[in-house]
Amino acid sequence: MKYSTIKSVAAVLLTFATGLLVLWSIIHVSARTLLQEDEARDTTLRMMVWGHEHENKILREMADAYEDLHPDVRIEVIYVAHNNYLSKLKTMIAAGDPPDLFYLQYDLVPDFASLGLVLPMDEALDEMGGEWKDDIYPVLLQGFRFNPETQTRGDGPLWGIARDYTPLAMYVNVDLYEQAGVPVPYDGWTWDEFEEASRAIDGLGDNIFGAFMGLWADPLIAIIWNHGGELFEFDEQGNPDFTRPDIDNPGLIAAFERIRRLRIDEGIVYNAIGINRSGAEEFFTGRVGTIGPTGRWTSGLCEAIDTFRYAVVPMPHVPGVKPRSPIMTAAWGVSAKGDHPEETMELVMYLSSPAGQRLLSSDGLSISINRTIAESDEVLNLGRKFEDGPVYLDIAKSVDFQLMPRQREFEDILLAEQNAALRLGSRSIEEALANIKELWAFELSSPLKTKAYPRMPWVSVGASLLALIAAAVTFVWWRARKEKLGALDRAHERSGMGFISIWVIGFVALTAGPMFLSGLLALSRWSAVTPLGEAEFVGFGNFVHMFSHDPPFWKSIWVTAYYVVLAIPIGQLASLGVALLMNTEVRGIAVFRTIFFVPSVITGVVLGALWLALLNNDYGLINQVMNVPLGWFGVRAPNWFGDDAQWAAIPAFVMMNLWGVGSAMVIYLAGLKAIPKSLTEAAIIDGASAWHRLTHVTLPMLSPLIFFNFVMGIIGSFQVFTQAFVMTRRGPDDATLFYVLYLYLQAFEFHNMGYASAMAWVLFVVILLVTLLAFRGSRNLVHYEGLKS
Amino acid sequence: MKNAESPITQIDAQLSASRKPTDWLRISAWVLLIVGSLILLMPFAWMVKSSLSTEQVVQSGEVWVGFGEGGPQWENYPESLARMDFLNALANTVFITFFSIVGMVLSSSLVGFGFARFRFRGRKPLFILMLSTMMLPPQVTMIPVFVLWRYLGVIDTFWPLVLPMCLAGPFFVFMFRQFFSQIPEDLVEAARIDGASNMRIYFQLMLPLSKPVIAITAIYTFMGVWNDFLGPLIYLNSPEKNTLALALNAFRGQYGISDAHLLMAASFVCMFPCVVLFFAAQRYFIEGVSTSGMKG
Repeated sequence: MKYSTIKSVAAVLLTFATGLLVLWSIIHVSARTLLQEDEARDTTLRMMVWGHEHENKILREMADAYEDLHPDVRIEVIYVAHNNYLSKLKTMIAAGDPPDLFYLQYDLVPDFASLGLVLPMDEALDEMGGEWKDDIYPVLLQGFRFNPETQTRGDGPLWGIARDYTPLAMYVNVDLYEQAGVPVPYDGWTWDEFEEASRAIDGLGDNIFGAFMGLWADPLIAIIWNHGGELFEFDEQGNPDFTRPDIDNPGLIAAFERIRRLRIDEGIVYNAIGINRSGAEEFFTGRVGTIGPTGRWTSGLCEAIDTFRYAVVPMPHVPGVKPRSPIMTAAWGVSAKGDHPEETMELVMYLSSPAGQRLLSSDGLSISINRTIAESDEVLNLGRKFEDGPVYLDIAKSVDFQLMPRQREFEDILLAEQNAALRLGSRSIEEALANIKELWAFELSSPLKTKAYPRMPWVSVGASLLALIAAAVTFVWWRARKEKLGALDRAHERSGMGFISIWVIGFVALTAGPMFLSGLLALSRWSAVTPLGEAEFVGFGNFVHMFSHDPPFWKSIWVTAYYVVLAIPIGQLASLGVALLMNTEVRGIAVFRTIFFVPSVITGVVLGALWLALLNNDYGLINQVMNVPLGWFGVRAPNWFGDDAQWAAIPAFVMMNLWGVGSAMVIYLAGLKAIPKSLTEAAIIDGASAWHRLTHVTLPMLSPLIFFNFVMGIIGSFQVFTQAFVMTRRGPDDATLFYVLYLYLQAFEFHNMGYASAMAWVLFVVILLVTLLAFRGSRNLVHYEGLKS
Repeated sequence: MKNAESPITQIDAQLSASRKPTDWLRISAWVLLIVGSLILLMPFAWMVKSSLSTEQVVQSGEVWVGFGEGGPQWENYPESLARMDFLNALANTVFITFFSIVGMVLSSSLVGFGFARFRFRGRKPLFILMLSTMMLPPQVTMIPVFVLWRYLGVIDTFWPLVLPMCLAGPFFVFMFRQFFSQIPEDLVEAARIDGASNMRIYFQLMLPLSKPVIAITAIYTFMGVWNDFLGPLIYLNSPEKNTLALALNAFRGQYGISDAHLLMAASFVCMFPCVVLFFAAQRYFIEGVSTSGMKG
């Protein structure tokens, strides 16, 4: 009595609260929309950036200062995490809704300029005055020049103005250097000196490491350069020839060998093999002698250190090799498709002007593009614990751009092989270098990359589509005529058709039409940043490339198959087992059912975020618990998404999947309840043991459900996306490159819409085949009895 | 009167002995279930505990050390919510979810009504066609549908997320059809004789009767839309239009590894409505899942 009162009161309260929440959200959203429309009358410029909170605050300040000068302009800043930036930017361009102003990385210049996505800036720059223009570091301007006609870099129009830049340097722990009795190399050093210093520091204690090197593309290039190596051979004009990776270059090999020796063989350099700590954290806790090569933003982080003294020194180099540093920079690019190009250009000029640059330099995370400001006292004396300005200015004299091929696959290949050879040690350096050359040549030789294709014949496609529809309509009409209907039936029919037309509209617009278009796209090459009319017809080129020239495609199949093979049997056994346990009429079955079902309510991003923390190899619950029994054997729980990812990442996903055992369990439980008592009782009378009853009565009666769960499980497992995207994305060495994740990356990150459509069709066909096979194979195993209700 | 040795009583005794499984079987099942429950609940407990702990405690990985200095860190919640611009994301998510549910319930029941109570030529093939679309992986249509919305110029609005929900979902149509088919024809006929139009029969007879199916449709639409990630990821650009799933993902990307305690607080808040809904409507959750399996 009392319980039910509480329950109904709770229900009323909950309903009321939900109602209020809905009302509030409607008001909130509509108010925002209306307000925006009001403001839209003014000029709104959208600026898309990535970066630290700190930098973004300064950007906002600059935007506010500009808004004060131009009251009719409103600036909306869109912040995106760096690893999502390019994907988001390209998706917005593909959606026809690009931001007016955005960071343009220099390796994007050829693509964006050729596709006409950005506006040239020379005119606006000239208007600003020659004196100011001459004050900009020439290398920065040159890096963003590109001639679309001749496809050469370094000349032609200017497509972006660098916001700021930083060369790369090394950060050292002065205390550790002194403790080890090594002089701090303020004026530069050689790699051998670096090695000696690191070895000495590493010997200070078990928990101390000589150095840490975070090897993404730019630092890796920096190390290669300062060993006298190059990534590519050069042609006669002195431009890198992207078809010839310079893998026999002694400098390149020396660089690789040194990293491998220090990291893997000697263990002097901290080998960050988890995803959880990048390794840079170890420096800030005072356990690493040197980190680098890294940019000036690191100084911002170092200022928070109060347990030791730090210093910034130049990168080491090999004797006889001139020190050289890559530039890390992002430029302002102005969208060619924006509504307010002139105003945007003006804003860029403000951001690049001395006033803007002074504000931007105040955080000391980079160097101003303007020489006068970069060398001014206020910027060089920031009152830091270590005044790093002069060192960086000195390194800045030897900066250079590394030109990279337009196909982003090269960087992927380079980093994957680097990872295998220099971090995990799973391949020798010779193998890795040979792989780079081979995989890259393979990539370049794909018909999709080498051949020219005609435009998609949209007109004839449209015409044949119309003819097809007309034929279908005639056929249906002809069939329908055969059945004569009375007037009443006719009215009845019209109403029925009216009701289902809602679904028919959805079917035509969102399923049938798109499927047809998807089939066409699968035969085309289209980047989505151009109009659909510019899609090229490649026939089966996408499929040829997929099956013969795309190793990640096979990897994604392997990852998905591994998951399916592991997750389905384990998941089905577990859910069936739990259902059988619950069916033994134990006490508190309702409570158990609830407890087992709750986890399956958690899905999506929350599930991914939670499990990423649970599986963290430093502090995650699962590793903490597993380490206790494993510790008796001297083993540690795997680093699921780190160095053990190759075999452990997928089992980790299976474990997460197993947490949601409840939904399949409930289906089985309902099935068990539906088995007629008479059957079990007959078996008991015949003297069947519990085991026999299970295998001869229960399981056969349950087989249609097992089969259903099995098929649905396979279909679901092929489509893992959100958790993989949220937790690991591709994972180390593509260990978690699930098929649909790869499809998404192809579509919305690399913008190969045609290729992604082809992948979707392969998925469709595979699912269809697997389902058909399952149906065929199940004929003798599934009993369709008793569940006909 | 009863003969103790009669075969019938013997069978009876045998049955009652076996219907109740033997004691050791029941006890071990019970123990296994308790162990299983504890394992399944641990992640929740850890999540809540971490969300109330200091950063140092979470990063140290010690599970049994309490919350850190000063007891439970309630301020983790306001801090993490402020960082992910929670209220805005909540409003957007509730807005999208609400209209999706209304659209899905109305459209699916209308279509189900059409399939259940009207005879028209092509009804059967259309119904089978509709059911077969459930097998289609959504990735096949994802890109063209994106292109469609782009040409309609509604990217970065809620339309691409809500509108498809107003065009009926095959599974829910199926459930409504089954339900409506079972309503006795006499009832409908009586209403017709009284002069009720089709719409009136639908609104005043069919819908009020089909509360369980409405509940299941609403709950499953809620779960799907509330947790949807791919849709908002593709269609929404402006930060102020973020849904909770997007905001949580951005939060994870930005602070996830170093501020796990805040991430757990944010995750808990995003998860909370789903769990509340589950406890409020457990029956429908389980019914919905069971019917999805039993229909075969």
